[in-house]
Amino acid sequence: MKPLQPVSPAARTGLGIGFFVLFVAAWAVATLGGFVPKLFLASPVTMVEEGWRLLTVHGFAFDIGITIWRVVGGFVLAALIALPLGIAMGAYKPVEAFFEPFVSFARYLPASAFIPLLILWAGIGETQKLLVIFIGSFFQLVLMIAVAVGGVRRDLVDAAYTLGSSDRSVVMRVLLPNAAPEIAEILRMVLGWAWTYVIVAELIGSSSGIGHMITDSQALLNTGQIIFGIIVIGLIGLVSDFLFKWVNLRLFPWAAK
Amino acid sequence: MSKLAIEGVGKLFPARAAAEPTRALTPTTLAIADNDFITILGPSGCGKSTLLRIVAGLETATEGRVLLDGAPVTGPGADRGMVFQSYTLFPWLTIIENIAFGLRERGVSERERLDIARDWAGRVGLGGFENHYPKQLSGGMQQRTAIARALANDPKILLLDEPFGALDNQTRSLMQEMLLGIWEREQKTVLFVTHDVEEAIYMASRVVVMSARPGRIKADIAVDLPHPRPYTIKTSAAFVALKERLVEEIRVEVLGTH
Repeated sequence: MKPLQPVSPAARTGLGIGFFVLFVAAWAVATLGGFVPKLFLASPVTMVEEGWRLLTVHGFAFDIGITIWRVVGGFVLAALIALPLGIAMGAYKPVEAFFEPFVSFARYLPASAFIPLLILWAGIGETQKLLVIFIGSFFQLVLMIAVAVGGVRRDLVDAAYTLGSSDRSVVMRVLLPNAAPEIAEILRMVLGWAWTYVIVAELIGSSSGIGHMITDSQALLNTGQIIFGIIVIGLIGLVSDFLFKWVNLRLFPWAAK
Repeated sequence: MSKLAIEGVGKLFPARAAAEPTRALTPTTLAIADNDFITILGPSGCGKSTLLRIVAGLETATEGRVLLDGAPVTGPGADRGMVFQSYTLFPWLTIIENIAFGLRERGVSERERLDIARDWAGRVGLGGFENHYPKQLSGGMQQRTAIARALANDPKILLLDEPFGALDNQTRSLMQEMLLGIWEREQKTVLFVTHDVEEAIYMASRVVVMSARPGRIKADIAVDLPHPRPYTIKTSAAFVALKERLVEEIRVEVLGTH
């Protein structure tokens, strides 16, 4: 193999699928071959059967729906406040100097560690779940958006000024459109992180959602259901990622590499 | 009265930890008449770009003042269009939208600004590329767009900071002809910074030679070559004589700094 030598699209797809196949095969051999006790790890076949039962008998679709709602709700809330604040910080240095040190500190506060506190404050209802997502994504969004907005090429700003732009117009017509594709990319990435927070929030003090189903299944030693739940989360993440990428490509054709 | 008056303009960069303040530009005085094409020629780092940026209002002078039509320059504005050495088209706008950028800032109606922009796209030879994005264009085409964008604003003076510095020789030569052609037709006041001697002579009605850092004007030479100037003029005896003289002026400066 030559370093950095590109592969053909067909080979890329084949190789990518190849590992999935290998992974499932190894899993099947370990479980169906009797190398691992059924109690600890269900076989792929059992997993699919359990998944089907979850969907048809236990109304798992509702849990999936509620989890998606929580992620999207908390994330949209965080984005709505993070966008104007991040843009203001990126564009105006005094605003950045005011907020940046605190936000930098707050982003390292683990959202999951807030769960006990949030349960005390907001109970175990939806507000608490939304708040976990909010805390987990808000500070990350603010900082990354500020960097994206402030990272504009200086000569583009100079050019705008020599074309008669006002300060406000430089923000609206240069900084914002310049940062827009990167901001969209940041939203896509942080939404992925929000998925890990929602499951943690649902593992503790919840009566619905994918995370709740996973804790229930643990009590029943049903590893098939647990694995099915995890795979569902992965698939939803993958789909939302593709959707985001597709929308970004349509919205910002000029930024495509 | 001169169109642009640079009166004792100097620039001193403030001292940094334990370092002396750096003088980028010795107080410089220069008067530019209406419809003049002035090239400022100097070695790298001589402060010629600093002087241009002060005229544009992008940097402040530590002393002296700049007057445009008698009014002091306090900041950047649409009356001084500028073309940079780096490619500064807005990548999210098409060519036509880039050219119309300044007109939109002035509140010109969409129809009118697209008409003007399309006209300028044609004049710089970009007809047919109006709806392309900058990244789809070559460097030369991007700089032509940048020139059109600055001129569409109808500025009182056009400032160019080594606009063809990043282009290959053939493209650069074509761009010089194109810009000179526009100047001959439109009669604009132009201030053009370059370190290329041939370019400085070919374009100019006056070449201002600057010394090495800290920059100051060491020669101001009128170029009396006739217009229109075909590129073949670069091999004429008068041109070559002028070139030899300027090369010597610059050589002394570059040698002095080494």
